[in-house]
Amino acid sequence: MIKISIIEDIKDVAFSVQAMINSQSDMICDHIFHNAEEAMMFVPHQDTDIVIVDIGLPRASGIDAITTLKGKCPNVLFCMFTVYEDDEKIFRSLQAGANGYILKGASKDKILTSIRELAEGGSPMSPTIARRIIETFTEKKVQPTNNALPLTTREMELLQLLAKGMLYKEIGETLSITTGTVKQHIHKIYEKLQVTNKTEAINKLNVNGVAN
Amino acid sequence: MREEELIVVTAFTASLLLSALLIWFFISYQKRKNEYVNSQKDAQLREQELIIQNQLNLENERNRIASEMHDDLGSGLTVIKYLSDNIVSNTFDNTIKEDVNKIATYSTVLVKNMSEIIWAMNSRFDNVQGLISYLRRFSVEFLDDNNVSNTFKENDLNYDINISGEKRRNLFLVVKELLHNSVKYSKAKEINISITGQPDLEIVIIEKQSVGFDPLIMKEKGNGLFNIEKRMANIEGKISYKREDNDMIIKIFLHLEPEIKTNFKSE
Repeated sequence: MIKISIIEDIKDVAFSVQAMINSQSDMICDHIFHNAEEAMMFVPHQDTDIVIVDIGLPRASGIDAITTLKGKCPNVLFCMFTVYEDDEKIFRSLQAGANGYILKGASKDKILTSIRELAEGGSPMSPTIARRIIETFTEKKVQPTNNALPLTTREMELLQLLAKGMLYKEIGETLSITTGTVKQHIHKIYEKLQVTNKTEAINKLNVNGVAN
Repeated sequence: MREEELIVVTAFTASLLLSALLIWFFISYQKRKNEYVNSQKDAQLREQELIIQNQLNLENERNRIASEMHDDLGSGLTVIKYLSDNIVSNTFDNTIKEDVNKIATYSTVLVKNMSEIIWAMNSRFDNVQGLISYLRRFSVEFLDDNNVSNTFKENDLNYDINISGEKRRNLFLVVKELLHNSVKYSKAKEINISITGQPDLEIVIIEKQSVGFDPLIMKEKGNGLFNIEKRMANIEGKISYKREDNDMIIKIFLHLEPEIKTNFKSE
């Protein structure tokens, strides 16, 4: 059973998604938060596998919530809930520790499939996000510390194909791997993006002597 | 002192003074010339800075509008979709279901259209790569969803060539309209798309085993082909249709300046 919590300020949307999840036999949602502050307080004390997070919330944003919660609950998966796919905010969420995203406009089936895929260790990625990640890893001017994980050749290859707009199916065919493997690679890339983000923060600290 | 000596000394002093005067004159002339050149350069620099600042302001403004549209309208339309879905799942009246489903569909289509406008407005995608990856993602997904087998090939593309938002949006909408028409009317079982660009862009769409259509008749029937021609004219591009055996071959041509733009940078 996949245990899910939702952080979404628009109640109608939150309850719709909850109903959608609870109509399934393999997942359950019994925690809804309408702002980031409540979620930051209560999520660490509850038994949850996945938290679905809206980005735009009344005070603190969904990205702030993830930044705080990721450290406190390392085993929880965070999934952004967003209107558009090619969004700077999605990229920042991924750097903060999000493991994937679901489009608000997607069909019910698509939303449920995405939740299951995430639980199984797969993540989605759009061409523009792929492009942003390539830049993040190749244009690094800071010297990586031991914490920084470089991308493998295979991961870089995969990102380049994604940046061209190729679908998972095509990438799988090109690299002779299954679509499932493609998704798992992306999941790992997201984790590295987060580590890189932390390393960058540490490096900045070392250079300036103080945190900015 | 003798008179001759006095004359020599005077002449010597006079010529010394004269040359000193000449040198001073020359130096101050040079100095003024330099000052003038420098001030000209400064003025030019200021002017260029102003132009760059204006472009930056324009870009920021475009991005601000995009992000506001993004946040407010996008999430508002999504709420309409979820509320509609709620009504559909709570009613047994089929007429209501049908109508409310239409509301949900329209709001989803509007979100998609808006995300296209935002993509066109975002200057980060003002290059060939920005266009091609968007085109590819759309075409393959759309044709897959409609069970049309397809290929999408790139030949000899220079990814960094600059292409404006207006051109990108028009080209994208032309291809979108063409593929919608293909799926609706041509009954083609396979559609192959190939793109060349060094730097002029040529997009070739081949509809295999197509029933085909006469563009002239179609123009009277619907807005689709009329819009395509209009969009191509707007960006000074060309489009041609040709039948070859059972296939329909559509060629789109757009001249691009070999100007590099690599501003696909993180903020």
